[in-house]
Amino acid sequence: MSSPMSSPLRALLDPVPPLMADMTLTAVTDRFQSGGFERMLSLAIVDEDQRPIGLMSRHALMELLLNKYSRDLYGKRPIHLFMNPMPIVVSLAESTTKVISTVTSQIRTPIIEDFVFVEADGRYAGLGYVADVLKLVEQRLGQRNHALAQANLEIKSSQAHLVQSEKMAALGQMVAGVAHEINTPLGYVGNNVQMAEEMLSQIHTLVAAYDGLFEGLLSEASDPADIEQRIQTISEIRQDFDAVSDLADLNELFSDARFGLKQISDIVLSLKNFSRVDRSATDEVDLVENIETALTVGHHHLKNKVTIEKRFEPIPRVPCSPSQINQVLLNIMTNAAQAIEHDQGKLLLRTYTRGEFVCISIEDNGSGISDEHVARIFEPFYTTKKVGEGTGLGLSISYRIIKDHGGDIRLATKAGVGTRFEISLPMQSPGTSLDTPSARMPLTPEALVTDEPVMARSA
Amino acid sequence: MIDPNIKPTLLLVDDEARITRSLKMLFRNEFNVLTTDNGHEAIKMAQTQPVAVVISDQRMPIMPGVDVLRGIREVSPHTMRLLLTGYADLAAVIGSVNEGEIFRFLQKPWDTEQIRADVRAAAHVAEINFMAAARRAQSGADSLTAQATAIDAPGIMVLDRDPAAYELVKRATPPNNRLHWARDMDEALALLSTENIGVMVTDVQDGQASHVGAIKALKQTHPQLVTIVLTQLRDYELLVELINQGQVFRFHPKPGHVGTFVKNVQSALDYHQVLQTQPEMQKRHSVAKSVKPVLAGLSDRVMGYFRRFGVNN
Ligand SMILES: Nc1ncnc2c1ncn2[C@@H]1O[C@H](COP(=O)(O)OP(=O)(O)OP(=O)(O)O)[C@@H](O)[C@H]1O
Ligand SMILES: [Mg+2]
Repeated sequence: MSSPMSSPLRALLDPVPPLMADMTLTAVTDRFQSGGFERMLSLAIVDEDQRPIGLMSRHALMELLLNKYSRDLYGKRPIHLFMNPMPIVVSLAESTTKVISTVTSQIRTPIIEDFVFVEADGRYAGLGYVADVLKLVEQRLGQRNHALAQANLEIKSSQAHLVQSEKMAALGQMVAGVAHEINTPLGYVGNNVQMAEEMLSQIHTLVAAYDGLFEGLLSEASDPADIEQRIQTISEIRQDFDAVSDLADLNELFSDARFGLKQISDIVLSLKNFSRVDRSATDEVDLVENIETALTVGHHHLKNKVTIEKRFEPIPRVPCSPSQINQVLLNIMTNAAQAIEHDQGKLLLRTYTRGEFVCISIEDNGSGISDEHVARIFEPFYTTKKVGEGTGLGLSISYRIIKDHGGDIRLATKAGVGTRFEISLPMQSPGTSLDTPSARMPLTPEALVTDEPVMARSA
Repeated sequence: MIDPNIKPTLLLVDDEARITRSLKMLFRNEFNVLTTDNGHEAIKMAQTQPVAVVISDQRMPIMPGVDVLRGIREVSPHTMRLLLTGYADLAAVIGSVNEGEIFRFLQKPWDTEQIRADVRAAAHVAEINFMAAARRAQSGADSLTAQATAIDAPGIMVLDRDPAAYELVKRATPPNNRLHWARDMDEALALLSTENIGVMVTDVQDGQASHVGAIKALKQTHPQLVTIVLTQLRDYELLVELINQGQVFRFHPKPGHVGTFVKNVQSALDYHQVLQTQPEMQKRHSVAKSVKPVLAGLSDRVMGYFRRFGVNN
């Protein structure tokens, strides 16, 4: 609490001289009329020790004087007989907040009185005006409103940050994986090119030596010792380098290199697709392409863990934002791969239509999700993964994206058997739909339009 | 045992056949190259024949590289182990050192000259190790242990201002080995010049000062010094650098768990003892590049052949 001297309450204080308890009613009336007190609704009454004992309001005085004879009847009587003996008294030593709450809680309407300020020791200090307090309240509310608006803004922007950081995390993971995917072909392509170069230089030396021999043999002036030397050189080179079989290897080096380059360009192409800036939200998109792109990008998560089976029924193009759909597919596929802890991992990808919807089903034979967890998996930050491995934002963002597209994500799961996620997107551009993840109930496997149950692990 | 007249064996383990094919071509002149994409098979190969050097990828479907190298270390401890990977997480890097005791951590794409140099260096060390093992088998293990106890037990040096680190090492130091505490590099150098120190335990960073350069430099000047890095730092590139240029023997997280640390110190002391037997081995069995014999009398044969056709008068 701040010291009374510096208290902001001092700004509210008007150090009006008080009335003494034994002043007569007439004297008080004169005091009110003497001028200089126009702002005050009331005057305080103090005892010999300067302690406030009451308040005489202008309003109460007028009521008294409305009676014609009052002045004659009571004029000589001391004011303490007419005063309000229980005025609102606040100490300058108190906090502004406390004073505000004391004044506003005790205030009576209509407002006919001011309130009394006392020093920390209880002696009269002056009067305060209720109107000032109300102004202060208003000001504070304004400030608080501003703070709330600010906080609201911050929450919104940090929410945007979170979404962004989830994207960045996904991107970071992807980059690491893609780095591996690219570095492997880069490794052998680079090595092969280097070896081809070395071979070429050996071939060059060999051909030059053969040329020399050829010239020597044709020349009339050749010295047999020179010819012999050349033959020696050639036979030495040939020991290090077997032109016929090494040239055959060169073919293989180049065909591997070409394969590697093709692989790298495929990866780069799918990265481009993946991060493509969408032309508009109403692009007509072939979802199978999205699935293939997500598979390529997520390859490193999947390749060593799962065999992928595709059963694509023909589906029409749908209006959607392909990069967002890619994000959803990659997250669900990654989740599936991460849920598999055995070496017979399977991922079944399917496309089909249902009514006005196009569906993608992603089914794994991983851990499944237990009943107590399943209701929470769409919550932001809900994750069962180790710190640093999962943010728990993947599904909540995926859900938001699909909902914004007017679609839905549903799932069927059985602990120890597997999980199936089904994404459905409307064939026609949707109106906005309202739904919250918490209101969703997971479907039982039978409720999904599948002709077969969730894959058994042994399958 | 490796016969110096036949090519040493290099084992390549990678699930991408193009990688093994490419590397095989690179090394087939100098090595007898074996390839597989299966970790179990790789371990079996190292068990049934002397393999001088193994290069394994980390990310493979059947068995991750670190496990392959650990398995090979168990069945053939003298095989030099290299991890070659396009991307490895920190855990794999640390695992490759602590469990696989790898010689080099190589990254894809690699530099052809560098990998040649690394593999040759590895083969050189492997040859020395195999020779030493054979010699030990011949003369019986007793003479070696007798010899080892004859030299006084090597000391352990802590290079870290952190008293908690010193306490940890103190608890892990066997009673026969002396413990020295260097607060900074100067003290460390002074100790190294006066004391017989076999194992150094150090952080990679001490306040603002980095010990990375020092760790690498010390490995050059004191090749028999075995380094354990005790650190909180989790920096992939830095660890790789320390493996390849500092030949760090173990990475131990800070704060350390005493039990595993005791084991680390013991293996470091054992390894130091192995290193001490190397210099003489190195001299006796340095790999000499065999000179190709020049064909004798060849020119006569050829000249005679051509003369018959009257090409040369
Ligand atoms: N296919 C699945 N099988 C089993 N559990 C799953 C599956 N998909 C999601 N889950 C569970 O749902 C949780 C939330 O998933 P979500 O994608 O939202 O976050 P995350 O995967 O943990 O983190 P992030 O996506 O940021 O990496 C997961 O931690 C996991 O427990
Ligand atoms: Mg996820």
